[in-house]
Amino acid sequence: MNNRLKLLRADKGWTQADLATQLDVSRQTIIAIEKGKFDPSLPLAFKAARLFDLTIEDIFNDHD
Amino acid sequence: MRKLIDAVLIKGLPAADIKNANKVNLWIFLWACTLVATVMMQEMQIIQNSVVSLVAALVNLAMGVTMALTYRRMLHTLDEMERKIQYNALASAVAMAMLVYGASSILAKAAITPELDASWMLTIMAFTYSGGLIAGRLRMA
Repeated sequence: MNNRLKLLRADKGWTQADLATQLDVSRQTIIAIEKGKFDPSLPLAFKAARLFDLTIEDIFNDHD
Repeated sequence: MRKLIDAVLIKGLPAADIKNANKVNLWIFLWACTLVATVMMQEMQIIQNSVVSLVAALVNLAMGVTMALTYRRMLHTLDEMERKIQYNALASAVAMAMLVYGASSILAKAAITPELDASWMLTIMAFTYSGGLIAGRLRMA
């Protein structure tokens, strides 16, 4: 699954650690999500969407 | 090499998760201590009374149940990627135990090898679980 998390995070000027703290996960989880190695759970995806004031589809998509 | 060290030391996990993991480690240690101490005392014939053996088994069981409950509680609150890694490692450990037990049963029935000792099963599961954790963390890094 692809995502725009890295771009959105960079737009806000946040580090991976900042985002991890705000989403209440480890920095390793953020790294793995950004690299596309780990797909977040639905609650985490909703949390990220709320944080960036976007929909889940705006951040994550299942297209290559 | 650094990735491997980070994987072993579970670097970057939130403080609450590390605290819970330490609690689990403590209970694993206590459970292992009561198991080893009881078996050693039985082998050295310090414990000969069956009532004392029963009490020792119950103490070990209580430690084991507490360990399992603490581990389950830790999994519920754990960082979600680490939780997935833990589930995968657990699945690998169970699968390995089943495979080794099945294969060793066939070999033991054919009198090629002796019956597999329970301590070997625990050791195989522990190593597979630990290996699974490190492999999982390296895969996600």
